[in-house]
Amino acid sequence: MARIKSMKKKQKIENTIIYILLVLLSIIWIIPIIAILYVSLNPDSSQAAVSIRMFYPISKMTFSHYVELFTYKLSPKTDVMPSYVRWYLNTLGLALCVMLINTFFILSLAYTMSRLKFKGRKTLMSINLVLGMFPGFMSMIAIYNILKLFNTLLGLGDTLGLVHLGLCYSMASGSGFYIAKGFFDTVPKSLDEAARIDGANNAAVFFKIVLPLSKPIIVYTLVTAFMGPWMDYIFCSYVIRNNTDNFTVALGLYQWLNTQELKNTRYTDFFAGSVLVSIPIMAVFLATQKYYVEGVTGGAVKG
Amino acid sequence: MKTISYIDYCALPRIQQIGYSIYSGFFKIIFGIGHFFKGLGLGIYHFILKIINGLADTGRCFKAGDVFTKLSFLFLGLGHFKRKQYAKGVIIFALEVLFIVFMVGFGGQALYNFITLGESRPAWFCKSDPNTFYLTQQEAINAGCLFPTQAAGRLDNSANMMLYGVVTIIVLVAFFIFYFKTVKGTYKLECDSYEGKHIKTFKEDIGDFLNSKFHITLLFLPVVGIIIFTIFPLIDTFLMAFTSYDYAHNFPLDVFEWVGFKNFSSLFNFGGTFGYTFISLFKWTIVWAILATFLNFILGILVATIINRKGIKFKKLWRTCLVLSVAIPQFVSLLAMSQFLNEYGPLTYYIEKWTGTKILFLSNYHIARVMIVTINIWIGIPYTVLSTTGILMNIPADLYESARIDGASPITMYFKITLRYIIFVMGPSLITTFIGNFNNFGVIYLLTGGGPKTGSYYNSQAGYTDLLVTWLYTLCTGNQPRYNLASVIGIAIFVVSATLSLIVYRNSSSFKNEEDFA
Repeated sequence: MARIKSMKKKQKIENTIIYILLVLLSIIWIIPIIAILYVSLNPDSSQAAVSIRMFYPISKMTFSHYVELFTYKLSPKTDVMPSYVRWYLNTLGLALCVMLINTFFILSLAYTMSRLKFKGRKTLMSINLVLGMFPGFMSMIAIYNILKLFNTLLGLGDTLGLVHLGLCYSMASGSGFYIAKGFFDTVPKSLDEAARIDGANNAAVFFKIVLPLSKPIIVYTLVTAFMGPWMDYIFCSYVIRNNTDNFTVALGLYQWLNTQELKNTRYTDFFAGSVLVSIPIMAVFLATQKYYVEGVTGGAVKG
Repeated sequence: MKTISYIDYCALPRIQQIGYSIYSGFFKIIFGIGHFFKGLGLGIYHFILKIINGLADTGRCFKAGDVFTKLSFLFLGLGHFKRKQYAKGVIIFALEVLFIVFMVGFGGQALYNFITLGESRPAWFCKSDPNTFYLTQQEAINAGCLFPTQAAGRLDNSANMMLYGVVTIIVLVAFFIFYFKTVKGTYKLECDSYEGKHIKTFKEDIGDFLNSKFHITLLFLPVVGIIIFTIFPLIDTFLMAFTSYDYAHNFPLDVFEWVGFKNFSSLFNFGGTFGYTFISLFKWTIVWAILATFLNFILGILVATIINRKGIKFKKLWRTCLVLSVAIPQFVSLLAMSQFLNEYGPLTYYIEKWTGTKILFLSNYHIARVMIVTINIWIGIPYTVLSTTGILMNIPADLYESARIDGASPITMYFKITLRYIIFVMGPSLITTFIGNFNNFGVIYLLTGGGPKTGSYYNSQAGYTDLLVTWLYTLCTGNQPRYNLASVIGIAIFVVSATLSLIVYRNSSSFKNEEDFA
């Protein structure tokens, strides 16, 4: 009896330690997020002032920088709408287009590789594997040259814009089909066979049998494709360069921080802008978290 | 290599076990590389054999075929026309004509230009003296012309010539494949009609694309996308490694030319600044990739185990706290962190104010490296928690039960049961993570931009926290871009990733199972 009691006591102490640890961990993970929010409400607007008055009193909190996002124009004479709004809409439109094309490409490749047996299937898969081992943006220069060449051949001038960026994001997206293929592999084959006996052709099997059963992977593919343009900086900065009208949010915000002049005036705006970008992305992510985990672990376990 | 059985291995003293593991691991790598080259050689051999067989086959078709089939070798599609496949015949013939027009009007010149990469012709002149040309703008300025004008179309654009050349080669290869397929098809058609088999109408041919050829329908657009936006640029970039393409040798300043393996030899000349930078950054990249992968993995599993422990409440709350940091875009969280931590940021300011010492989190290279690894742990742990929670729940509880009865401590249980089980399940994806970290652009670029920069590295463009990929990026986009060297670095990264993947692939269960069957 005494022994059981001591064990219970031991467990209680252990659990208390673990709770303290968990609270500490949560604080570590939450603090930077709170800090971003806190700075975004800071009344100062230059880096130097914000750094010195980081811990300003709560009573001085202001939403003025959020308001500024909706009024500030980079070049007041020519800009039709506030720069941040424009970048936001750019990214949103881009993300929606990229999402649709990528999902179509990835799902059709994944389905083909998983279900349809044809000559050269394995060769194609191994070629794709090898291609994936080159660093993603190694061929950035060549892609830039190609896009520019297209443009000159079509007589569209020298500057590249959102359409080109969209092409970069979507055209080669098919090569990321592995996770979706892993999913299709788990959809029972007997369903196809039954449908085929009933006279369905390959296309009907895909559209009417397999796709309706693949909701998790469709959601996962849509979400990851949608998030891409919001997160990417590399391709965006290389393709868009100084074409500020075609900036995405990531590029615009990065510019606010890394131009000396803008650092002194737009520093807090960066944090306010970041919060406004993060909210929808967080919402999408948390809402579809279940599918995301399924997608990731499904791919991981398969190897 | 001498292999020993598992029982003998267990009987060895601990030190010898470690020694044996290192010894056999080393041989595995050597064998892995050897096997790769063997496979590569065999692959090339089979490929050549296939081409020869295909040609011989086509020859036989030509010999056995009738007049129409024979003529089809010259006028593609004639055979199809004769067998009443009019639409198909017309399309095939049109493609042939298109190809010939392309080659005569464009391809031939493009191939020639591809070999020469254009000539450096006089391209700048003074308005006051339009008959004297200068090679570069600078020369014209030196010659006393303050505002030189560029002569239109006099200087070749080598980058575009290379692109045109690669396009022509791709078209050539594609046409040859198409040609041999069609010619063979013509002969088969002749045989079919001779044997009285049903010859497909155009409508049936189209219908096939929804059924027996559905894979072509589905693959067409994605694969064309991959060819144009991955394969074609990769070939082009690969070729750049053998040229002198950099900021000075770029349109409209100058042409560039083929230089053979010169760029590669400067990569392996570790005495020169380029080679020195490469080897230093390579070492740091490896250290970083190992730290980032394994620290995240081990600590992440630890956190996940704690959260999933029996009797702990609010599991969902703890998990959500962690996952929030995954949900915000990296450029937001990382850029914000870099702002909080940098020289002018609040952290340095307040620490100096309160303690009197100035800590440069991101500008001192030792601290910067530690900071980067630490922040990466902050980013990485939630991912590991997300992906391992499911696996943790699947570990049979009786394993822990029996371990506890045997008197194992929680730490032993963590290392011997939890970690081993997860490594067993997630082993292959661990390597993908490793390669991902090897190429982890975002964390480094957004936090430190590779800095603190140092003059001892190539062109003072690289810094102590730069990885090979971020250096590649700087080489492409920096002040004086050197596309050829960037391409060399890209190839080097490829070789490392490919070797690693190969070793893992050889040790993975699917490969071993194959061997078991043999």
